Amino acid sequence: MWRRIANVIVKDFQQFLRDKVLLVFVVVGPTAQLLMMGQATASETQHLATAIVDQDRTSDSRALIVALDNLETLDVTHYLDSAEQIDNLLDRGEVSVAVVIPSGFAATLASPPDRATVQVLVDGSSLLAGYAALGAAQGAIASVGGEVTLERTQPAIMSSPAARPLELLPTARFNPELSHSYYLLPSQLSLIVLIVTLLVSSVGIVRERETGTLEQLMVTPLRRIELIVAKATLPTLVALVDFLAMLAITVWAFGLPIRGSLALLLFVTLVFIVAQQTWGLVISAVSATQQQAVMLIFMMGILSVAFSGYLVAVENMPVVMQWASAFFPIRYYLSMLRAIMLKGASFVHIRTQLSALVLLGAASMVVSVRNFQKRLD
Amino acid sequence: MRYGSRVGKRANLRRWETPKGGRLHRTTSIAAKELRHVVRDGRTLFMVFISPAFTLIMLSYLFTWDVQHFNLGVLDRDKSSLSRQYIAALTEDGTVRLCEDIADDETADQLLLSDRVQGVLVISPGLMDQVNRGESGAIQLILDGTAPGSASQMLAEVQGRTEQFAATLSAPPEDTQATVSPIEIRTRVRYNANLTALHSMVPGLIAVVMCMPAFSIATALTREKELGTLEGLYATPVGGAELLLGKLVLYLSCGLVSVLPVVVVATVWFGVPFRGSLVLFIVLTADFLLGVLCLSLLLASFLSTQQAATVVLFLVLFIPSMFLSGLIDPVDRTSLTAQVQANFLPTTHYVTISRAIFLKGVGLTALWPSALSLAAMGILYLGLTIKLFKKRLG
Repeated sequence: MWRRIANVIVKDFQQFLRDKVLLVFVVVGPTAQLLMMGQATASETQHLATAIVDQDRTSDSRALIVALDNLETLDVTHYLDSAEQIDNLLDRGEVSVAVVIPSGFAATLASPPDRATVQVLVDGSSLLAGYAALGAAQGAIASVGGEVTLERTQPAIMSSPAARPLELLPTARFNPELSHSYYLLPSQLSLIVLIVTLLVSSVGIVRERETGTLEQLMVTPLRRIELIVAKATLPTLVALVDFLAMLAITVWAFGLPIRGSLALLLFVTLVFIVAQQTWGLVISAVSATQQQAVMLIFMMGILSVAFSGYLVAVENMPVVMQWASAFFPIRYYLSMLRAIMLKGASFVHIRTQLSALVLLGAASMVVSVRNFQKRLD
Repeated sequence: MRYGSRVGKRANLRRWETPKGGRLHRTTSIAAKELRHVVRDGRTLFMVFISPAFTLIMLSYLFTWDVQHFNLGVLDRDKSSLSRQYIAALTEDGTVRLCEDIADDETADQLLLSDRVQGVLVISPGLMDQVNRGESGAIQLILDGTAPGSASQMLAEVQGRTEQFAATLSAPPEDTQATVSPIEIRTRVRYNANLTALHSMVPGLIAVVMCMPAFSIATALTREKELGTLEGLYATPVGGAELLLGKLVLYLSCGLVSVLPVVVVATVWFGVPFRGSLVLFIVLTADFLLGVLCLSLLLASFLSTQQAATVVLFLVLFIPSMFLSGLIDPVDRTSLTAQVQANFLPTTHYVTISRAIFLKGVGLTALWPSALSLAAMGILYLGLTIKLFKKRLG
């Protein structure tokens, strides 16, 4: 039995090593990709372009502009003469937010009961940029307002500490600076592992079917389960090598910690790769051509980005989608990857996710072996 | 058979000397052949025409976060009426959900490590006494920093509720005038007044699902190499340029047909406003498809197997489209790496175009930079591909 399996594995490796272009892209591509993308997305701040219409032109209005420009989220890029110019800039997407300081701003501030109205216009077409710009601009303007209040009511405010009965002291565990790359890099890394696994495994099998060599393998004494085990070896190794290379990049180039046990991390990754591969087998069972397999992988990849919780935590999705997410290995894997790498979790902490992943892998294995049989007959 | 008879008839003509009509005819016959490939198999037909719309539906449900819930663990060491009131005030509207009542530090740690809660609130003993004495009582909030986005959102939620609750505790200020901020902020969110997630994400996601034709064309070309049918085509009067153009025309048309159900899904199913011109949207979609399909052809012309072509496309097109195109996080203006990568990615321009036409309703006057970049990319890549292809033929 093992000889037969080994034969197929050797054949697969020979075939794989022959295609030099594929080899380079599969082995070096993911690491290079992660390095470039990591650099492009690692920045913590957003530097959204901001337009200012200062109709007041006093030291007070300038102080407000400085307060806005000092924010890391906003960069003042355009100084406009009239508010009419704003629409054009927003339409072109050249600025994400515009702030209009009315004439008489300083004068109003100096005469207590009156209130000056500062207008903030935000481009809502890009959601996260919209939220960030809105929050930052409101915060800066409100704090300038607060300072003015403080000056007006000096004596009353002196006793303010006692006027605050509750104080919230936030701390961020595992990532005190709330660095963005702690979140992004594991997402990108696991997504690349997923894509490589799926492509090498299912496209490999469909290719054999398309070129007719799978038929030849079937007439050999090789049993189905042997064939599947043999066919899974190459993609598993390739994905593991990619994983290690990318892990090295995240640690050395981007300075992410590995706080938990490396052995556990590798074990969990191996389970993930195997579970993902059985999905690859299902895809290859339902695709007649590589083109179809690729389209299915595209859909699976795109859904995996969503279910990895990259944008929305799975708990916040509609209930049906939460059920659907249970079928996607990446949902469990990414949470374990973050837990082991960044939080130093041990086996006890991840046992729920790990058993779910094992269960999922086993279930889809059964489905794919049965499907495989059907196609053979 | 058909190609064979053509060769016989025009044996005296060299490939480049054939009349213009012949070239057009050969291009269309390649396109017709590709169309038969697509139509022949129901599954391929579905995947080429319907799957972008189908994928958009699924994705759009996943990429919305209008309703956010946070799971909070509470370690209440005070156990006073004040602390109970405070916790009730935090959790009353369901946005912050009290997930666990924790007994000790150990459990708090366990919960954070196993991803059960996104934060733990620690109320130290004697909080009520402190507040009653007029001192400031401190409450600790430990957030899971591995998800910075939801950590800061949760902090904002808890902070806001804490301040509201604290305001009910302190005596009403005597001089209300003094506490009103002298600056009134009037905000207006343009194009998407309530910052509805779907309205921003659906047009953005269209750019991702419309990358699917690029995968089809790359596999279609490399498939011919793999099966050896390309060699067969070399023997016919069909030139490299005609072969590529034939495929390009077919997949561009398929892409344009498949964008219609996508627009219907976006507007009818998800109710995203369509404020711009549909004609312009279709023209610019063709522009995007030109850019992305030619990029795909260029890459595929270097590669000999479908597998290799797909791996490369996923790495070069798909993964960056999710993370770098401005679909989710805005492209960082100050980072050169981000700018270069984003601008070479056709998806970035199409995300801009799609959002602008759907939500802003702007015309070509605002969109020409993106439109021009896409066209330039398409023509440059197509030229390169044809050139490289001719070389191989010669």
